Amino acid sequence: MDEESGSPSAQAAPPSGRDRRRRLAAGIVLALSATALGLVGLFVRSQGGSWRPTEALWLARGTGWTALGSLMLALSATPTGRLLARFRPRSDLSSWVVAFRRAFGIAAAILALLHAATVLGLYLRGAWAAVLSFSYLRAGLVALAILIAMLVTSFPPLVRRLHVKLWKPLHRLGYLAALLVLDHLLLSPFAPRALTFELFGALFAVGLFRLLPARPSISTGAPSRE
Amino acid sequence: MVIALALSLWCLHPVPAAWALVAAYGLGWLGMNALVALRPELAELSLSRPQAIALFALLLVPPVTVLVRHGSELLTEESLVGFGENVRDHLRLERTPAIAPPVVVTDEPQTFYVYAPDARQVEVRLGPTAKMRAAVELGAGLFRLDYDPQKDGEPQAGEGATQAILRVDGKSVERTLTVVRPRAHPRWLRPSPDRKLACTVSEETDALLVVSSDGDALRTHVGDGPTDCAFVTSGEVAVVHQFDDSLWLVDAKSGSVLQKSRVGDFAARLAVSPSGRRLAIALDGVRRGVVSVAVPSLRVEAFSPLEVSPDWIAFGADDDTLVVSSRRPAELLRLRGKDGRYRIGGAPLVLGYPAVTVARVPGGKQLLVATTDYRPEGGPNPGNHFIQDQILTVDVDAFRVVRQWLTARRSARQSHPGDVDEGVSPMGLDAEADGSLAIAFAGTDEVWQVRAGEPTPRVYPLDELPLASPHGIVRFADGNLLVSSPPDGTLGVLGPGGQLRTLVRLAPDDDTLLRSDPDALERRMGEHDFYESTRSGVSCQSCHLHAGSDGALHDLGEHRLSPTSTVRGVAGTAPYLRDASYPRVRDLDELSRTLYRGFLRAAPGRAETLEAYVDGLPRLPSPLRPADRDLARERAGVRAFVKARCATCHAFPAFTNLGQHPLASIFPDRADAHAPDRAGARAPDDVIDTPSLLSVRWAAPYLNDGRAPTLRSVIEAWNPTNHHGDTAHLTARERDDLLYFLESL
Repeated sequence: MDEESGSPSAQAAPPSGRDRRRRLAAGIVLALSATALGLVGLFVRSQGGSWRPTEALWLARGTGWTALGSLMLALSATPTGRLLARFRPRSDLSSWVVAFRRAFGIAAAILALLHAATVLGLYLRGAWAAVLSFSYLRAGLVALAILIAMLVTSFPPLVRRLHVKLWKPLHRLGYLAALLVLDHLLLSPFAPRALTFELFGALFAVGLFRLLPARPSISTGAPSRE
Repeated sequence: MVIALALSLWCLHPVPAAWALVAAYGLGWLGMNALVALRPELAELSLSRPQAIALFALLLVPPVTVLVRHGSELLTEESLVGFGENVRDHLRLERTPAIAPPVVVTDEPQTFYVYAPDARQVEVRLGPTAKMRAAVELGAGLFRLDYDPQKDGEPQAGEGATQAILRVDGKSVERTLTVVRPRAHPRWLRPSPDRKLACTVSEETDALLVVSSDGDALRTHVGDGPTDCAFVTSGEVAVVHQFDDSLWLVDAKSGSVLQKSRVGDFAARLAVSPSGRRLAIALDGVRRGVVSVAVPSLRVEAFSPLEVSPDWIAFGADDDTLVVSSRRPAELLRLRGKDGRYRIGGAPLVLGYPAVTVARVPGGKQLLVATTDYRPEGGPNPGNHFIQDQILTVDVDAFRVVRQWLTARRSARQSHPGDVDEGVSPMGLDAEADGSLAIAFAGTDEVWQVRAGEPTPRVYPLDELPLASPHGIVRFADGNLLVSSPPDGTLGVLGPGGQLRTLVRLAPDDDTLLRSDPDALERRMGEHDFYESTRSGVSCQSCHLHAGSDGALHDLGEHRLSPTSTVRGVAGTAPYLRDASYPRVRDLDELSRTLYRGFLRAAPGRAETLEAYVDGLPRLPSPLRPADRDLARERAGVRAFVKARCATCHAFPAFTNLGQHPLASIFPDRADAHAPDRAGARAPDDVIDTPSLLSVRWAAPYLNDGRAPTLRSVIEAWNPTNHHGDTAHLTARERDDLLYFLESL
């Protein structure tokens, strides 16, 4: 989740700023997860909540859509940062972009895990082999695998322990994960197609800002591999 | 570099799947990491831009070539074939206000449903030349529109796409529908007592036709949706209808209507008693049974209710014996009675697969029954996709099959030994008193004449004539044969040697259609394809009787039993089949080319024409006419439908969200479906499609493996875990209302 800084461990900000950003990241992750579960709980309760398939569906939907939202925000962070950098070239935007991106990326992976657990446990009811029969479930599972790999390599100490030298090619799979999620949604039984197209259209539009050149002022000073 | 390495790794064992590509990428990434860890100087390796491009291209060319070669397999594996159609259908139904079904036909009344959440009033105009009609609010945002092209006007002058106007609380929006204008379809033929004339009806154009041996044809406009006709005397023809509740008596020479009598709508067939003093009419609407009508007064004598839907009907040797066929269960019922009141007399004669056509042998002691298989012990044939066309001779008194004649012949004419090219889909039978028999084969486009004393039938091929998929046949007294072709809209008089003497056209010929209405020509070709046999002796028609269903279970391989679905009204509901294994109708052509060894004749573009035909078929009509509906119960049924959360998957207005589910998520009790059960039979795959509930009344048996014989059993006996809708929390009254609503769809 730390593509632009050159290394997950490469943080140029002073300790106090880094702590602030870490706290922010943790807060985002916790808040998103709690919001997703809370919304699902409230909705299920408002619907009566006595019918298990409905609970399972809303749990799956709630965690799934929040995971998608987090992933989209993570993928939008860099393009948005580049756009903002044109207006505030001297700010310490880069480090904030990195913090946001990592936080939303971690939240996306955790919520995707929750989503998968809900689907496997409550919707598929243990018939996990069914995953192989549905291409949209397979796509979701592959996207989840990518997010988990990215999650693991989002923590600098772990990256160091694993002796990962080339983390950027792995994190670029985030875009593939988004494509797989699009496939997952467009072939799934319940996802509204129009909303899906609107969301991914917006993501694509925001993603175009990535074509803007990275200003030296938002560079963290770490070696860039781009 | 990682991409190139990953694709090269994938090339070593090219599994056409997204997961395999991602896994290869993962391996490539791990490999590169290991390489850099072992040789750190590699990370500092810098190439000039031309060098990098050359190396990259060199590494990428072989894997990209392999990837392109496996592209179609990859698309299939990832369910991306037909992806566009599927997404289009989803968007059409999601965009509220939405209307379903998407096809409007100009020849019969139809019911449409509009989903407009929170709307109070909805009006619909189905095309620029149709009237604006108010839809009936059913609750939960669902509205019903009853449309009768005769009263409300046709949507537009031609065919194809039209813009329907949906006015929701005063605000108008446009939605695209497809207008289909069916052409004349003469089907079964009935001879006059002296065999000098024959009659038939065209349901699509509301016409009665009386034809002589010379080819002189009298056309008379009759009521809405004529389904059958018969000579009451040599000069009078009785006609019954689907949408007109009257029996019409028409003068065979002048075409004038002599008399009408109300007998009820949804008449399936009629039969004239041996004495000529009674007509028996099979009704298949809300009231199912047989209406007896006295001749010549046309007074209704009695209505004899039946538990099953009657299909074919024929008298035995006297006026008091009647035989009725039913598609589901596939059997013959013998009715006995006095004064036109009939009751089932004795056990049914189990056929196993339904009667495709029934003909009475003069004298009435025997009946001829064409069927696709005979299973007297009941139950499905365990053979994989098994079809065996045959004609059964039934002794009416003993009520048993006395002769079984397999018609699908094998010959060396086809390219492969054992291929079938004769005798497929016997559709029309005409038996005479001397024991001779004329048969029209819709599957192999031919006519057989079986003469008493001759060991082999005389075969008259119709391949080169505009008499495709012949349905009806009658032998005139002078030896000429009259043959009808529904797809071509023609009647042909054949001489005793099988040569075409006269052709009566009721619909434009191919050349005219090509110029004026290519869509109709495409549908015509598709209809012919639908009936045409494959080299294995199976056609689409073999199971999907007249584009409907034979109501039977078929083994689809590996002992997987699946009930036949109707193909009517499936436009806009991709993907197809119970397990959603075909993304588009046209993709089913692959099945005919592989499993069934291809069609008899080469026809370029067959997949597209078949799709055009199927997509142009309207759904089966609701048995409830607008005036007969109990609106309060219908609304209560919608409330129960929503309360039971049926709309989660069977979403308004098409009553499907077009989604597929794992079997375990809906029917956890059937999750062990791969374990053999009843007589080694297995349920289909664990993927189940969400079918539309429109016309669900006609879709029995229900559920993915046909285990539920009735709609009540779907929501009660076969929902033990309460995952297929929350039906456990419905009261008995709510269940009744739900069933009423479902049957009205």
